[in-house]
Order: sequence, then structure tokens, then C-alpha cells
Amino acid sequence: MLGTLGRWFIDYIKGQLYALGFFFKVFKATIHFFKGKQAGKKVLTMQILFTGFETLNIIALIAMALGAVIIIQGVSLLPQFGQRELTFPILITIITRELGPMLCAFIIIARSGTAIATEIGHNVVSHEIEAYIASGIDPLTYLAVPRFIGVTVSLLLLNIYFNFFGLIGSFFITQFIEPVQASDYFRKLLSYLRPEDILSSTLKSLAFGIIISLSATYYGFKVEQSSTEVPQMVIKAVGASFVYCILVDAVITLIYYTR
Amino acid sequence: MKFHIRFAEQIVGFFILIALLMILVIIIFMGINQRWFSKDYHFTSRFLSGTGLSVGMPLKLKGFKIGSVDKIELNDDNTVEVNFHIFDTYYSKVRKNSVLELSVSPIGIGGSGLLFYPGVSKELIPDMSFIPSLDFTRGKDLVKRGMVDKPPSNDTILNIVNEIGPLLTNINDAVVSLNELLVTVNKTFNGTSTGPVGDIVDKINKLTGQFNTLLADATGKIDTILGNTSGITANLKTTSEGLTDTKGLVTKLLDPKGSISKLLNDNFELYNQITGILSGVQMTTDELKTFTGYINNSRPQISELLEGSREALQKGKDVLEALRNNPLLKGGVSEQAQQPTTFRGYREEDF
Repeated sequence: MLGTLGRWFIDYIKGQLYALGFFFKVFKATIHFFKGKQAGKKVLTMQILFTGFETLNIIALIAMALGAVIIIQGVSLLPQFGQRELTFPILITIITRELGPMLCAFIIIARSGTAIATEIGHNVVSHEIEAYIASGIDPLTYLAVPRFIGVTVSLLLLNIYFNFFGLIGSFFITQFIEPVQASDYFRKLLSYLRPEDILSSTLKSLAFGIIISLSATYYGFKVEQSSTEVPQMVIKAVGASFVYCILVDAVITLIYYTR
Repeated sequence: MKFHIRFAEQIVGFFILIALLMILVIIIFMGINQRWFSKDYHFTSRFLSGTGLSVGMPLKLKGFKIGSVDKIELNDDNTVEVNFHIFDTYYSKVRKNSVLELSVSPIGIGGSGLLFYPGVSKELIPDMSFIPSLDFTRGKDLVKRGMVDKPPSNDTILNIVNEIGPLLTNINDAVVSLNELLVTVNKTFNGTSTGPVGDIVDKINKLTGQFNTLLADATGKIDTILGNTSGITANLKTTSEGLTDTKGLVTKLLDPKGSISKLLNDNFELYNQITGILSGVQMTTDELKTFTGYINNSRPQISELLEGSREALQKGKDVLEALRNNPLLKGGVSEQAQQPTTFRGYREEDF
């Protein structure tokens, strides 16, 4: 019993150290990624295309729907309490600061995180990693780094689009249901939007992008021999991404409100 | 090859460019809207409480936003120091004797805000100066002296609430006065009031009582008089009947052989006796007059004698009381048989 506990603890520490070593190597490879002509740049472009551009329609739809609901509820409910002005702080809090980055992260986890973990897992099972090494290609530089950069950049860009569609696009949707004067809307929206909100949102999406890409690549590389390990690692990658994203979100929010 | 795969780099480039442009445009418009590139004038003020104050809170003049709150701090003397800025476009309104007012809605929603009232002076307040608030005497004095351009409040709820206070105070005063009036009226009608009306009512009550007593007394006397009058009337009737009778009293009085006739014809014998008696009475009266004069002359000495006797008796009484109360002499005097006085009045006789 005691021996089992000791073994589990030693394995856990070893696993954490291995993960830390992996993250360190990826960061190090990322710094050198843009130096010289890299084959991984094409992979990066494709990663941004798949993770960022192809997710834009879903992001735009969710952002506009969410923004429109907040505006409609705000302009219909809040004036009853003489607090119509609160519509804009609520809209900015939800779209820009809190829900925007988190929703983008959840979509990317479901869409790209799983895909990356699965792809790398199959690369391991089919011994492609050994082939890359044999060919003199660093698998981290070719497989992990472009995905790490691609997912992080995509999440940052998607967050900007989410904010744009959520704050501005939703205004046009609202016009069909509850017409609001455009000049008044944009003037007030821009007066309530603070640089801290944009910074908080950017920090969150940056952190979420790093967490999702590292979790997906790490668990993808953790597949050893069997293809049955792939879905298990994908589930672990998704779970870890969700947990760490929520934790980091809480920490950044805490820093924002206690500054 | 699919379109978006073939033109992946262009699409990604466009995707990144548009995103960067959007964020750039938003930041530029945000900066313009929030006056990042404009000069603001900074001031400080002080309030009694920070309730209703918040960082970023707009500073308003006649409904226009002219600035906002930058910082709120609680001082060592428990006052709240507020740092705020005013836009350069409204700096011309920041004149000497300007004041601030923190308007807090009493029902919690709406109507709250930090209001700016410019002074009537033409002199501008320099940057980083102190602007007093209406929470303190300095600001109130400026308003009282008419040195501030402060229009009446247009917040209906606040006005109503402000009006209700004095109204309720007046109603309360009126009710208290009415209550006191009722108590006074009750006291007055009970005759216990100390006021003039109370005195009058009290006197009327007493007079009525006295009048009733007098009336009862007079009624008894009138009844007695009426009874006597009846008797007199009966006597008069009898006398009248006697006078009219031929054998009555008049006939007897006029009889030449009667007593009256004899008394009137005694050769002044009765008259002389009466004169002698009167002379004796005259002499006695003279002696009595002389004695009375002597007594009158001796009255001061008699009074002095009586006063001396009274004082002697008082001192004697004190001595006796002292002897009786002295524990050494108490019981020291032997009992003596009392000799009854020989002089006793008839009134002191036992029955």
C-alpha cells in the first residue's frame, strides 16, 4: 500500500517534470521557429487556416447572437429600473472580458484541440515520429511548434472577431427587433470600453491558446504504441485544457478586479 | 485542390490583417471617444461620504458630462478626497467659487451623480486646485452668498423627497400644537388651567356655588319673613276689628275713669319721679365717663404690664420645660397636695 503510494507519487512527479520539459522545449523551439526557412511555416499557415479562419463562421454566429440577446434584454429590462446605461458595461463585461475568450477557447478545444491530439497520436502510433527523426526533422519543431503558434494566434484573432461581431455586429441584428440609435450606441459603447478590458481579453485568449495547444500536443505525443490510446489521450487533453483554461480565467479575472 | 487550401496563405494573411485593422480602429475610436489625446484639467474635492462615488463616474454640468472621477481616497480625518478631471472644452466653466455636489438618489436607483456648479466670477480656477463641495460649510456659504450659478434641482423624486421632510415636520408640529390646544381646552373647561379663561371659568364656578348657597339661605329667610308677615297681618286684622268694636280698646283708653286718665292727671307726680331718676342716671354716667378717661390714660401702662406678664409666663414656661427635660432634675421635686382655690365661679361648679 505504502509502496504503491510512493510509486504513484514518484511517477506523478516524473510526469510533471516531463511535461515541464516538453513545454520548455516547445517554447525554446518557438523562439527559433522564425529564424531561417522552416518547413513548419506551411504547417503554421494551415493551422491558422483550420483553427482560425474555418472557425470564424461559428464564432461570428455565437458572438452576434449573444450580443443581440444582451442588447435586447438590456434595452427592454434595464430602463424599467432607470439603468439603461448599464447595458453597455454588461455587454462589454460578457462579450469582451469574460465570456468571449472563454467561448472561443471552448470552441477551439472542441474543434482543434481534439484534432491536434488525435493527429499527433496517430503519428506516434504509425511511427512517423521516428521517420521524422530519421530524416533529421525535429518533430517538436515540425509538429508541435506550428500548432502551438497557430492555435495561440488563431485564438487571439478569433477573440478580436468575437468582440467585433459581439459588440458591433449584434447592433445590426438588434435593429430588426429593438431599434437603437447607432450614434448613441457606438458613442456609449466606446466610452465604456476601457483599455483594461481589451488587455484582459487579450491576455486570456493568449493564455488559453497556449494551454490548448500545449495540452493537445503533449497528450498527442504521450500515445505510445496502440491506436486505442489515442482517444484516451484526446479525452485527457480536452479535460486538461478545460480545467487549466478555467483556472487561468479565474486568476486573470481576480487580478483584474483586485488591481 | 480546394480554393482555401490553394490560397491558404492569402486567406490567412487577410484574416490576420482584418483582425488587426479592426482592433486598431476600435482602439483609435476608443481613444478619440475617451479623449486620450486631449488635455484635461485635474482638480480635487472633498466629501463627507464616499457613498455614490465611483472611479470613472461622470462629472455633470446641466446634464452634460464635463469630466470624470479619477481617484477616491479616505483621508485620516474620515473625509473622502476625490481627484477628478474636467475636459479642456469645459475648462471655461471652471470659474472661481465653483462647487461640487454629490447627488445620491434616496431610493437607490437613478438620479445620482456628481454635479458641478460654476461660480459667478469670471476668474478661472488653475489646474490642480481644490474645488469645495456642498458637503462642507465652505461650499454651502458660497451658495448662500449667491456666488454660485446653481439652478434649482430638476430631479423630481429628489425634490419630492426634499419637500416631504419639511412638510412632515410641519404636520408633526401642527398635530403637537393641536394636541396641546385640546389639553388646554380640557383643562380650561375643568377649571384647572392657569390662564385667564381658566381663572374666569374657575371664578364663575365658585360664584355659582356661592350664589346657590345664598339663594338657599335667602329662601329660608324669605319663608320666615312670609310666615311673620302672615302673623302680623292676622294681628292687624284683630286690631282693626278691636278698633271698630264699640266696646273695644279705644273706648277703654278714652274712659275718664280708666288708668290712663288717672296717670295723666296725677299733678306731675310721675313726671317728677322720672326726672329724679334721670338726674341719678346723669350723675352715674358722669362718674363712669371720668373712670373711663382714667382707664384710657392708663392703657399704655396696662399694655406694658400685660406684655411683661406674658413674657414672664413664657420664660417661666421655658424654665419649667427645661427642668422637666433635665434628666438630673427629673423627678427631683416632691409631690405637693393641691389646695383648691376658694374663688370659684358658678360656671366651675360641678353639676
